[in-house]
Amino acid sequence: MLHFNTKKVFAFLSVILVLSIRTFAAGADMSKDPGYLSGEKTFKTNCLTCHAIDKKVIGPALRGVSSRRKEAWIIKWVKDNSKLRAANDPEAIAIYNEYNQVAMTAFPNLSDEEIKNIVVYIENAPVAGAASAKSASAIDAGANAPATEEVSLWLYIFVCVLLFALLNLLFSIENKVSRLLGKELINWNKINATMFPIMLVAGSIYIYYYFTRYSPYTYFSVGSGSAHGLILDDMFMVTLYITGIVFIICQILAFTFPYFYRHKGTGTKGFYYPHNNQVEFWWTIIPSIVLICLLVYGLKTWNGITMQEKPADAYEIEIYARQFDWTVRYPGVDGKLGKHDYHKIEGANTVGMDYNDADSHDDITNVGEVHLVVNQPVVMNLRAQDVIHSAFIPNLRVQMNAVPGMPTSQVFTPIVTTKEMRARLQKEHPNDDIYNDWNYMMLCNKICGASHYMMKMVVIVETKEEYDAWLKTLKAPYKMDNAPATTAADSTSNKTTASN
Amino acid sequence: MSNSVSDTMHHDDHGHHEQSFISKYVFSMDHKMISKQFLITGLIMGLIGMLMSILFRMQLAWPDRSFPIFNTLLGKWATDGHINPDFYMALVTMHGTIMVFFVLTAGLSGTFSNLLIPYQIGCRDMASPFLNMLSYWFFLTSSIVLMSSLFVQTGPASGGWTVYPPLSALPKAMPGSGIGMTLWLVSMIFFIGSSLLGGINYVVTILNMRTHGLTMTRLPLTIWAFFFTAVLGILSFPVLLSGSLLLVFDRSFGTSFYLSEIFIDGHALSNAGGSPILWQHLFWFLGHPEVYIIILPALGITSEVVATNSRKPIFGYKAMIGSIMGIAALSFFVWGHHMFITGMNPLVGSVFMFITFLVAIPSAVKTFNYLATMWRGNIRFTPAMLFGIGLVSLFVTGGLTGIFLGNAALDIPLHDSYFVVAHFHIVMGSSAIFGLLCGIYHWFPRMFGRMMSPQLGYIHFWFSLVAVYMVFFPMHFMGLGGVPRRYYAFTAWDQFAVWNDMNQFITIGAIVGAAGQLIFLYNFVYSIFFGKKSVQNPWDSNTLEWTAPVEQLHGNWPGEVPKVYRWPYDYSRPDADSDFVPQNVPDDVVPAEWAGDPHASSNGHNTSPETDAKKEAVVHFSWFKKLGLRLGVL
Repeated sequence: MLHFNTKKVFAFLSVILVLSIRTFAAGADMSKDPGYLSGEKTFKTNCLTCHAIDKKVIGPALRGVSSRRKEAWIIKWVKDNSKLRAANDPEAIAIYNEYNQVAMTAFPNLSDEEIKNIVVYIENAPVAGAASAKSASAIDAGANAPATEEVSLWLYIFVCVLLFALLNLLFSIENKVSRLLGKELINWNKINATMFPIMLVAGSIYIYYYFTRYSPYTYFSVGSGSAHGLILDDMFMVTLYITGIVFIICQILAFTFPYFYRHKGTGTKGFYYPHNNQVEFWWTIIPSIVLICLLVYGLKTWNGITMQEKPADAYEIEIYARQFDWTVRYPGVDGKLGKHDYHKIEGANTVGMDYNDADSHDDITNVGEVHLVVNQPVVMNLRAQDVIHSAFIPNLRVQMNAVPGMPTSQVFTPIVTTKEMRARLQKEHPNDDIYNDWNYMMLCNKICGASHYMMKMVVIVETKEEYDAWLKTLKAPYKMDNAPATTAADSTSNKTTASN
Repeated sequence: MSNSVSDTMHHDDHGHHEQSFISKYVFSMDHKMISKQFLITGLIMGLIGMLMSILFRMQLAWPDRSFPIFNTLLGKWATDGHINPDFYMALVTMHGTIMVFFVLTAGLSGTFSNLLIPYQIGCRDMASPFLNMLSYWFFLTSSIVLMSSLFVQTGPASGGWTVYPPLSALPKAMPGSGIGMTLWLVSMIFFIGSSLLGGINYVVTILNMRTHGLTMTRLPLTIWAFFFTAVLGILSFPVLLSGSLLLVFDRSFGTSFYLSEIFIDGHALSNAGGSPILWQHLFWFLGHPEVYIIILPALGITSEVVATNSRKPIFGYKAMIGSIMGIAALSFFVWGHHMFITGMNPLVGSVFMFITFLVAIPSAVKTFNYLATMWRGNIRFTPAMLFGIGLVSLFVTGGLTGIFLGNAALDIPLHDSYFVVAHFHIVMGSSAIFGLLCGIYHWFPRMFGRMMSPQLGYIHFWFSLVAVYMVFFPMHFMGLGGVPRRYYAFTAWDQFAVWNDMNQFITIGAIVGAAGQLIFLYNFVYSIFFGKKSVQNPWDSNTLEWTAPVEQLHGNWPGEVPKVYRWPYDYSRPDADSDFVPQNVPDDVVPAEWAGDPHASSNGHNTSPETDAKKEAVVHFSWFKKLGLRLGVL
């Protein structure tokens, strides 16, 4: 199945070569253009989940879109493709049908300018290096490839069957010879019995290797970024030690008993020992006591995390999930999140704020990044627009589902800023440069559709000052939707300005 | 059932007339043929499920690499040699559904309940052979419907095997939620029908049709396990049936059981007042007992095989029954541990956590009993025994990680990560598969009258054991690195790049494991036709199925049904000549109960004097004490 012939390898290498030259040429001129740069940023935040430039992923490959469609059409499509379809636009309906009648997410909050910039970026983006080169080579070599693969698949199956038949033949010869000799030619019982302790040793080495090789990349290498996470990590380690002891004892017994008590010939008997109530009593009671201890420990922690009163210095945010991005909503200066109603989703109001509730007028939203204040408890409220999503921030030990029609929430306190955590990781892994631009990530952890695996948001934990400065750069959707009215005497907007 | 006279008459009536091909092989009402039908359908489904897992593992391990084989096999779903994300999710969903329901529920419990219940309790056939036949045909229909969803234009169901709405309820959310999901639900409704018909039959047969002398406390542990499995199925599958019907209503008739406040594709849906969490409650009310429906028969089979091949009575027979009962009873009250982070009331979460921890106790007791059964045994390594020991090892490994996940607080960072994938694939996936294979190797002579090649079986076992630990053990570490499950690729996540090597290693392990299963497949098919002819009781076993002749008779026994005089675990009785005493050996030949002191029997020949035996036992106990079980017990 994994067979590649030399011709294909050459074709593949030459394609890489050609493409890398093209990459170089294309990358030179546009990469500093401000439109291109802003387009790149918007593309990566909003489109990358479902689209690639040169490859069909969930949606079509986008390069050349400006020659395929008119600019005005693209803008309408991106902002709300369901409207285009409702207006019986033939192209829109054709695309919708081609992609199994699954609609593209609408982006009404993108401005015309931003969409134009995305197109600039798409048309001038460098060809992605190895990844697309490989698929290109497959297409180049595609004409004859499936046939050879098919042949080799059958060949493999044939060879396998032949091999098994050969083995079987050998074993039946062995059986016949054993019968002739009147004793076993190969003592399989002993071989199998000996394999168990060998496997025990091999398995121990294997497990030891995994612990040393991969432990630095688990939760425990740099610790938790949140307060409750520290307690969880401790509890994990306690549970690991207890279960680890049981694991080691039971596996040693399971892999050595077969060796010690292997069959010693037909004349012998096993030890007739049907039960021992005392032993059974104790090995029921001892695990029960240990489990009850762990249970009490776990219950206390669970109640501490989930049933706490909202702390006095906590602030609220809302994470709003939809296919396939996250939007964060901050309450603005009044500190109150306005009411919401899913019927009100329209235009820049992507999270369905109810503008009849004045609390919502200063609420501000952002896609792609959520900022949190270090050492201050936050109430994270969650809502979902279409299907169940789950906000999972592994390094903060935070996870809670976002369920349509059922608001949920979790309270936690981040205690390590992004910068500090990044420094810890760099110190832990001095040779890995992937940690240079490391961030806390919120990922979707409840299957929500084809692009589930791309649904992410950067989480930045920072000081209060940095947080306040960042918050000022955001816009309230209410003002965008009511653009002419912003200069009028709108009390909330005045308040915002005053506070600024 | 009491009278063997009427049994004999029944046999005389029906035993000798020739059956047509159709009534013998196709619409058969004979429990032995039905069990073979279940087994072969289950194995085919198992192969398909395994092939699917190899495909998506390859895609996951080498996301940048193009495999033309994908295109060959999957056509439009993998046009450029990459499986597209929609179909990847479909493969994952189908793999889960097939493995959990079609292989490990119907394939395992359907096969062995059908084969062993009449044989081991000494009756001619099931209480209702007709319902039994119907159970198989419902199962086959359900398999065909599920497989047909692979060929619909929008692809099969792809919302994960738990098919949580609203994702599964809204065709606009993903293509697999269209007609593919409808077929999934139809298939599941047939499957539930099959399961209920089978389950009722098993319970009735076990309670009413045991032969003379076979009291409940003399039943083999396999039968106890099948009995509670059937009870669990009868009580929990109907809940999934009603849940599925509600989902059908939501999808097709505009009701709002699971839907509320949804905005999709530019429109606000009018559904209000439903709750997606309701489905999760209904689903897991089946779903959790379901994992015990899967594992209990595997444990029952292992009990029988480990005792037979250790040439020792199963240790703590009554404790084993108690554990099965305990697990079965508790399994109805733990479903919420799948839902700790759905936003469910945390107080309810505490209760579920409490009961989940309790389930660990009977599970631990079962493990210790297996180990104690092997202790000072006289172990023969048949392939079945190897898989039995493998199951014990896997059950320990997977069971212990359950203590992490059952803890609601620890579930916060571990939920839906690869840690969970590792846990359930080891504890109820692989170990149940090991139980299935253990049963096939052990009862193959009973089913087909021939032996499987033991040597190929040994190779198969060592391949499988190594592969299971290669595939699933590393996943614990991925889970502890926060890697989420059901992701098509990790290309967009720099922080998960370190796990790429491991992902490839796991996929190679999966391919090795699959190659090992091909050895089994070859052995299975070859031995059906060309295997060595079996003798009547090839394993020197005590249970009643080995008292019937090798050729399979309609009605099982040619003369009277054997009577039972003892429990099934009289191996290595010091007062008997051979090292096994079948259940039908009269008590005037070997007494039903051994009068000697069980704490002081011998390990040597039964001719050795009693006093020596006592000394030897003391020596062994001192070794046992050193092992750390001192604690004032012994």
